[in-house]
Amino acid sequence: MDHQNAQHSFHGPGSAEDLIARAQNSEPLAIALPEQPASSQQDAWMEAAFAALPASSFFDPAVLKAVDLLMQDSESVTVQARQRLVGGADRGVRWRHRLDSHIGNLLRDRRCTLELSPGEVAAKIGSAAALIAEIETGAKPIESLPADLVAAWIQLVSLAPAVALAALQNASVPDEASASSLDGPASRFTCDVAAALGWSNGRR
Amino acid sequence: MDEELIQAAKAGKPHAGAFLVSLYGPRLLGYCRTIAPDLGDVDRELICEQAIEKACRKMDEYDETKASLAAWLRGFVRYGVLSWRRGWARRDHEHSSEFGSQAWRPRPQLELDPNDPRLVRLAAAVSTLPQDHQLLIALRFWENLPTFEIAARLHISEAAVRQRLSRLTRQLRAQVEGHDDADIGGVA
Repeated sequence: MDHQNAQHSFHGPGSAEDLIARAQNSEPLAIALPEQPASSQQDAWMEAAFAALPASSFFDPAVLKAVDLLMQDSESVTVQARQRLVGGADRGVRWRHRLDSHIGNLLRDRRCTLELSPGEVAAKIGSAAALIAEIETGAKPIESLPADLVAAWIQLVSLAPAVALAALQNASVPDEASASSLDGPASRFTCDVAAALGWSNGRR
Repeated sequence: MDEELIQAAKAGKPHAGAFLVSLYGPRLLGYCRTIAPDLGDVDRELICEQAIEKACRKMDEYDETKASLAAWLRGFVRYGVLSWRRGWARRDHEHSSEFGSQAWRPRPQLELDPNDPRLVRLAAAVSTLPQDHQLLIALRFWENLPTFEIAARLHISEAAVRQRLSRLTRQLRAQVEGHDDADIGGVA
């Protein structure tokens, strides 16, 4: 383990390596304590408390660095395990990729370019400002609005229909990361928006 | 290396997933085995798979000024293990209620409200501890290492680790509860 090397290379007082050495050299305290039920409950509370704490910012930076030096656990990864891990990572990365073309982000970007407020958009298409803001942030799905209002919103902010419909299509087939056209099976909602925009089968 | 990985994951680059697994997969699986040795390989792999997926999704929340990437990733594994245990405890409770099972079960998992005011007091109390005491607390309750693992890593006896932790947790609980000597058994 790396920390075994660390104990031979001191980096000055206050450093992570110095801290580990100090923790190692503290006096070995006497007798073994049998685990008591109360101590076990105490540990359970502390574990739950640290799990609920939002960040590690209350630990000294040198402590966090020392923890990293001591946490060098590693094991060989089987081919099957690697495939599972890469699969999970790829799903996460694809999710991020889709986020860049999320319909809410696209609509917000256009609104900001035109210097409109969510309230102005809401008033012009006949919706609520809060709902517009929630759809933009992804807190509510685009389907929270009727298709004709979504089409009105797209037109109001001059978002290119092809881009908007591709984003809607991506949202309706989330596992098809590369779906960027309307050539695939469109959701009913996407078709309704396309119709309201005057598009048919992805083409005007 | 980390910076390149973070940027690739944030941008949703296709190679970022395999890159991350190459750099951190063995460490996350090893960490998961350390904190959850009772779980089978399949469960551990599932926890790490989900942890990596969540980490990739939330990559823009990573703040290098607060923790190393390795430490941040370990947090997702810890959360996965905790969720797994809570789920297991619920299923086991339902099962034992139904069938009256007397089989051995691990300690029930507590769940605290993130707005519990005691958490703020705990964070403040920990931040005032000397560094070597913070290190013990971090290894035991932040990284969830069992005492024998802490002892092995610090090359001290497990008895010493348990005794120091016992004293520290009593002291912290006293500060959290706002009195001189915590009621050890009175955990909410």
